[in-house]
Amino acid sequence: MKRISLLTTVIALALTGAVFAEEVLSSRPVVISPRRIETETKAPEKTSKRAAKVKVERPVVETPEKETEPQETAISIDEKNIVMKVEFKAGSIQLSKPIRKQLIALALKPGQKIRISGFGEGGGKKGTRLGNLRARVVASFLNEAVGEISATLQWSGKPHASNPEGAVIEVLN
Amino acid sequence: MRLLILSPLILMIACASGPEKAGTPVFADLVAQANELREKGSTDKALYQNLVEGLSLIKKNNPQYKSEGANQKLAADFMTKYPSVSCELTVTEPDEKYFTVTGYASPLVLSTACPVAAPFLFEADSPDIALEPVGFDYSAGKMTAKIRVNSATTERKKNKLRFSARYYAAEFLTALRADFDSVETSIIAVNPLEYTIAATPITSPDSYDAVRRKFRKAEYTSAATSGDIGSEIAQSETGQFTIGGMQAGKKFDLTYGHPNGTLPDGIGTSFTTVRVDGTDYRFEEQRSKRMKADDGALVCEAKIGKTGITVIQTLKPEEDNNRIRTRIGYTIRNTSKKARQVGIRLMLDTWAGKNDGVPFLLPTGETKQLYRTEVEFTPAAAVMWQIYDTERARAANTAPQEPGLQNILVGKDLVPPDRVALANWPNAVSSVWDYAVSGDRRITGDSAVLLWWHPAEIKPGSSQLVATELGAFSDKREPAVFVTNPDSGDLLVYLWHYNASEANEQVSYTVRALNGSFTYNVERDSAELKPGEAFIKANPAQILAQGTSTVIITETINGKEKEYKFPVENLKRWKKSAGAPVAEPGKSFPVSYFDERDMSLKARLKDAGGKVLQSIPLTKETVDGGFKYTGNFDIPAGANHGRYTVEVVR
Repeated sequence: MKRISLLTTVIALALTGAVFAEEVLSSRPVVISPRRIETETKAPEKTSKRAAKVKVERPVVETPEKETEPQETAISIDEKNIVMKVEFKAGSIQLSKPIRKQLIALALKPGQKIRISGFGEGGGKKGTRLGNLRARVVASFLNEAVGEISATLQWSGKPHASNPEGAVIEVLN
Repeated sequence: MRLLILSPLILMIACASGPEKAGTPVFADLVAQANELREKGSTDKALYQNLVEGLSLIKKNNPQYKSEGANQKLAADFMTKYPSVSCELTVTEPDEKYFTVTGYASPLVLSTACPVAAPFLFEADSPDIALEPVGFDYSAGKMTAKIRVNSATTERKKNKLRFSARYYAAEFLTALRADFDSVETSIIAVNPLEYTIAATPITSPDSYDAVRRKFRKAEYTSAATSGDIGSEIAQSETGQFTIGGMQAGKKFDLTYGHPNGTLPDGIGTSFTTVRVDGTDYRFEEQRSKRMKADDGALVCEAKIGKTGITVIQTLKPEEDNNRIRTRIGYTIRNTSKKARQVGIRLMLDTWAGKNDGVPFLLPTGETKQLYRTEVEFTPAAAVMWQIYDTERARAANTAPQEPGLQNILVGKDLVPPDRVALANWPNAVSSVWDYAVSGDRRITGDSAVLLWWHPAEIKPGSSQLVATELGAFSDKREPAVFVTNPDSGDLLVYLWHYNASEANEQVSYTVRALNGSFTYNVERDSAELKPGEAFIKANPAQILAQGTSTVIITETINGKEKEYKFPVENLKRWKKSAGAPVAEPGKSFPVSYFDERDMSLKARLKDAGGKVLQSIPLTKETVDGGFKYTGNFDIPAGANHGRYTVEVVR
């Protein structure tokens, strides 16, 4: 008897589904737009980013048109979370080909939480900017290569005592 | 030497003192006339010449006139109204490329504070470069002049303009000052007197030189013909393409570089941009697979960066017996795991064949519908654009001619773009997505069309389609009907009349269908045309009938009627919905659906991401052989602009 009751319930559910199922009889595209003819327009503020082959070497993405100088951030690194130390040439923010290969080989996944620390060389404003850019170039490359990653950036104008390379990547989850 | 005379100054002087009548009557009259010309702001050179001749006669008849004290006072008073002034001129060059053959697309802007209280003439000339005045404004002592520079020499120092200004009454003043021994002058000094254009001219034979190096050959081609007209497409290995046409065995380009042996051949001056979550990707730079489908469509499938977005470009020449048409479509697929905002910008390097250089037309029925400089519009304002051969219209030439380029934005499987711009190609080619039009920048001769389908959300696993129709049409100087979707009975009713008479004409139209349900809502279907004016208007319509019907356009000119009949075949009446392809915010948007079945139906409005924004019940009424279901969406004034879908649901 219990078995029959269950079957009835299933049939009833199926019928309910059939009764409420919608059938789309026709579909037409329509554009909603104001009636407008103009001979003078203003280009919107530049918010778009141009994808380019040189993107990995020139991390122009996410760079505001006129940005203020980056301020030094507090650096916190947990050595056991470090998955890669990213080397840069002196004064450079370019990722070399072997480094790019290594970054891909990390096999990070979209949405993965990471922390990227970038380090400059001589301290001061110039060094801070270099550290900031190094952290961002790594994030930019990973975004491009992996997809959207959840990266927290931190940077310092001076080299890190135990990580003299230009940047460090930690996986946080 | 090309002399440029700018539109002269018209001065408005509110308080005018009455002319003085003392002194030798004839001289007093002459000065009064001169004062009147100044006060009225006259720019009639002949009247100023009359003053000079009048003074000469006075001197001849009465050589002593200049000795009379009253005359001396009259002359002195008059001359003080024409002081010497110095005008510091600022020249602003457009932020554009400067080509030897075509110069700048936008004019130079000359501005100066020049407090002159009498009519004056401003001139710019150059012995080596072609100039053209395009605008002049003078108010509150400030002058702004726009001068188009239409050429450049390879020697930069020769790309020079010279400026001068003088009072219209200058010659009369000179004669007066000589007679009355005045040491003052009435000079308008323009500073600088010369200006050398700072931009380095691009010494290419034409503006395509830079991209010509990247020209590619066709990897695939496709063509479709119907009778003696046909359309062609060529696609390169990068997915860039060109479009051409054929008529009576003659081939021509519709976009620049179409490889058909006429004009320069080479693909590469048109391109497509895909915007994904704010980042712009040029379609031709992406990894792609290309093929020619069995139905003749040229397909290029490209993965857009690492975004998980795949864009399939489908180009298909289509058969049609009254126009050349090619369908350009993009299917956007989101294979990623997150929703993406994706938009498409299509930039086509338009080539109007032998008609190049003619203005562009937005068939809105307005007097101002021809454009020689940049313009942008929405499909709600115009559902198509064309080129317009002014000379042919004026000459009342009905002989067969090369079809004129046109772009129909609505029709079967077409999705109207959110925004369209007719632009100057050299300027447009250097933009990737954003583009601001300028009414100063010319589009005759070197034009492009930009079509934007703004970014819209595409959910993971979903697809969206955008498409347009580029083609050509040979107008017969009379109304026409374009069938844009034979399946759904969608049409474009194209009203055309040119007033070739020497008197004003009152023109009006009524449009109906012989049988079936006919939807045609037009706000403007009549106009008073001056001699040489045209009324051209394209308006969407829909006919739902079974089998065949006829669209009848009745044209009434000054009370005299003439009917034009357009049979439409293979129509289907049932299981079809009707509604305009464009809707405006803040307005009601009617939809209807026809079916033989008696049902309870609703209609819903969905955005591009598939979200239902409005759902309305449809009212049923019995019609011959079935039912008509109708309803109205109220589009909110603040509705987001973009692509939507209207679904009729049971």
